[in-house]
Amino acid sequence: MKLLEVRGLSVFYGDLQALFDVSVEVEAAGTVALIGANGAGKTTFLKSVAGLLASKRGEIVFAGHAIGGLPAEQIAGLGLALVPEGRLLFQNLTIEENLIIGGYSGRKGYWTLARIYELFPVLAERKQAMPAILSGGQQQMVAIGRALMANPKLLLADEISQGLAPVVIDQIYRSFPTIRAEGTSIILVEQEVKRAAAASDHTYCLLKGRVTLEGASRGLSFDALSRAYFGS
Amino acid sequence: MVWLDLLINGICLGGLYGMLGVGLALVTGVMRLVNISHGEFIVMAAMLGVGASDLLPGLNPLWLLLPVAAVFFFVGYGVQSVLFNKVVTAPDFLAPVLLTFGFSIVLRNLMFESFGADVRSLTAGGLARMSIEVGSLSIGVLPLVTLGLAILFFVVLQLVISRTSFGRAIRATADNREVARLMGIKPARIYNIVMGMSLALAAVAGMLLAMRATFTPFSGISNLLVAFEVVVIGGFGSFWGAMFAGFLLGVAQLVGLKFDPNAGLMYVHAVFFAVVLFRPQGLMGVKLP
Repeated sequence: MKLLEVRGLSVFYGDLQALFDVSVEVEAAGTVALIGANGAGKTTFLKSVAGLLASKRGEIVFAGHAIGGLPAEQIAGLGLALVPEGRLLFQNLTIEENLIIGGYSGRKGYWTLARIYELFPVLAERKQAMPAILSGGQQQMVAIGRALMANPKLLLADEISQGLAPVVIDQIYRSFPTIRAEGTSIILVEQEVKRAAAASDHTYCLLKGRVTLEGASRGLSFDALSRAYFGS
Repeated sequence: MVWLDLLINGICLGGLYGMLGVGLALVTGVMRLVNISHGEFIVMAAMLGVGASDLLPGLNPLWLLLPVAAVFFFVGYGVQSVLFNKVVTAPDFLAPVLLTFGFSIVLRNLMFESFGADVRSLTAGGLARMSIEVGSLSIGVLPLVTLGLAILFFVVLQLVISRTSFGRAIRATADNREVARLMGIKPARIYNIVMGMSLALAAVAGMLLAMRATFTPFSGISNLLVAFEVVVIGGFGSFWGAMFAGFLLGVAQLVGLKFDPNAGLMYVHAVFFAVVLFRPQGLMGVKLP
C-alpha cells in the first residue's frame, strides 16, 4: 500500500517555477532517498508536501487524504512530520520542551519522551539545557526526536547530515532501523548520494526541479546517477 | 520621609505602567505586531468601567475589574481574528503599523462621537480615601491594591508562559511561526488568545488608572507612549524588565511633580530619553546581534 503519492507536483515562488511535474511514491514502512545538488528543489518538495508552500499544482495523497490544499498544522495532525533543514529548534525552549512540543498534535503511539531519551541517551543528560549550547549532532537528535514525538506515519528528513562529523552522522543513521521498525516511513533528503542510497529502498534524483532518475536504491549504476545528479 | 513616601507611591503607580507595557510587549514579542491602538483600548476599558459603575452605583468598581477584563479578552480575540491576523504575516512591515494606527483613530473618534469629550474618572468610593499609617508614613490603600494586582498579574502571566503547554506553544510560535505550524500549532489561534490576554491586561490597567486620574477619549496616546517607554526601557521580551521599567517611570513622574507641579509626564519622558541615550538595549534586555 502507498503511504504517500505525489503526482505531477509543480511549485512556484512568484513567477519562478521551482518544481516541474514531480511524481514521488512512498510505500508504507519504506525509506525513500531524495538526492540532488543544491537548488535542485529537494527542500521545496518537502516543504510543499508538509503544507508550508501554498503555491502549487498537482496531487498529493497522504494516508488516503488529499492534502494538497491543507495547511501545515492540519497535515501535521494526520501524521506527517518534517525535520527541517538547519534543524530550526525553538531557541527559547529547553531541550525537553522542544521534544514535548513535538507531540502537540496529540497523536499517541510508540514514541514518548522516555523512548526518545532511550534512542538518544545524550539528550536525557541535557534536557534542561537550551538548544544553542548543544553540539550540532545533539541538536539534530533533538530535531529528529521532536518530529518523532508526533508519532508520524511519515518522517521527512531534510539534510540531517549537513555540517556534522561522519561519526555523528553514523550515530544518527543507526537510529533509522528503530524508527522504521515502529512503523514510520522516511523520506531522506541528502546531498551525499552513497549514504542516502545505502539507507533507502528507493531513490529519486532531482535536477533543476525535475526528476531525472528513479529506481531501487540497490543496483543504481554510478554512471546513471552521476548523469542524473549533474546533468550532461 | 517625604522621599520614602514618594518612592512608595511611585512604585505603586509604576506597577500600573508596567501592566500597560506588558500587554503591549506580549503582542509585539509573539507576533511582531506593534499595536498602536493599545492606548485606545485602555481608554475604552475605563469608559466601560465608568458606564458599568454608573449602572451599579453601590458597587466598588474593583469588582468590575474581572468582568471588564473578560469582555476585553473577547474583544481582543475578535479584533485579532477579524482584522489584525490579515496583516501579521504581511511581507511589508508597514501594513500592521498602518492598520493599527488607522484603527486607533477610528476608535478614538467613535468614543468621542458616543460619549463626548468630557473628563471622566472612576470613583473607588471610600477605598480611595483610606490609608495605612506606618510610623509617620501614610500609604493609600488603593495604590497598594493596585500594586498588589499588578504583581499578581505579572506572576500569573509569567507562570502561564513559562509553565503551561499553552505557554510553550506561545513561545514556540514567537520563535518560529512556520516550524510551530509543523508541530500542529495554529498560529492564528495563538495570536487571537495572546491579543485577548494583552487587551485584558490593558483593561485592568485602564480601569485602575481611571481610579487615580481623569481621562478623556483622547487619553489613549499618552497611555500608549508610556507603554512604549516601558517596553523599550525594560527590554523586549522581559516581563520583569517591564515591571522594573514601570517602577522607574512611576517614581520619575512623582519625583518630577514634587519639584515642578506642572511637569505632567515630562520627567517620565526625560528618564526614558536618558535610558535610550545611555543603554539603548534597555535595562535588562540583551544586546541585539
